[in-house]
Amino acid sequence: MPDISIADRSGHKVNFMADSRHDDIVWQAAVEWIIRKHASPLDTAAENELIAWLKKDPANRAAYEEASRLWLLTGLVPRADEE
Amino acid sequence: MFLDQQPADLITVFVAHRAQLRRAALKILGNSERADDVVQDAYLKVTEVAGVLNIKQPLAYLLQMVRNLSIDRHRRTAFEIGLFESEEEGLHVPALIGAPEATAISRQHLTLVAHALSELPERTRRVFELHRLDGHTHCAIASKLDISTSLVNILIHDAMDHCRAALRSV
Repeated sequence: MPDISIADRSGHKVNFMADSRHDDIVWQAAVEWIIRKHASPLDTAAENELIAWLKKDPANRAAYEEASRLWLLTGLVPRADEE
Repeated sequence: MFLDQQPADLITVFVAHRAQLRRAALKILGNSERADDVVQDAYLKVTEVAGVLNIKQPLAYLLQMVRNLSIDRHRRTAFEIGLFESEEEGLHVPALIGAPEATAISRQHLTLVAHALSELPERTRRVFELHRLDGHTHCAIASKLDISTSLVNILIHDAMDHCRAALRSV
């Protein structure tokens, strides 16, 4: 599939494919942090790494919050064999 | 179907087994105050969840919920300390990102997530439950199901991706 590039009002190129790829990369990273944190408490180095990642980009923070909310919901669904 | 009776049932079971639920939290947290917090939080969750999901084994479900919330709380404590340290350094990251007790449950979202999980291939669902609900390590899940640890991680991601897509479709 070709990338679709257009310019926004201020002339900046907007690349939708790149945007959706970036969104996916950020989401996967957020989920990976949630999984890591669930597997075992983060050590100080890992915590600092996570905090730095959260501060680097509001999109990281947004994805992390979205993943956290989803994680909470998945924990409230009964097991398949209990449904 | 017992859907009409179920909300009362889940709450009744909670109240009847409160001491047992508290012991389950205490076992994980090792701290009475935090165990009480988790039980209180679980109660609020139960009142929100009751009637949304069809839960056949209320006590098993409640014990699992309390264990999950306890594990989440246990994991987060160290993380919060990290955040406070950062704030002292003049940085600013609000604490309690995604803290379960700070998050109201959307009944609609919960229904969508339950449905999305039910659509997963059986193995993906199993892997996700072993990780999310049982807290098993990737290694333990891999050897139990005779797959690689990297596949375990991929399937957990798959489950989360599918649920996210379900929430975004509305």
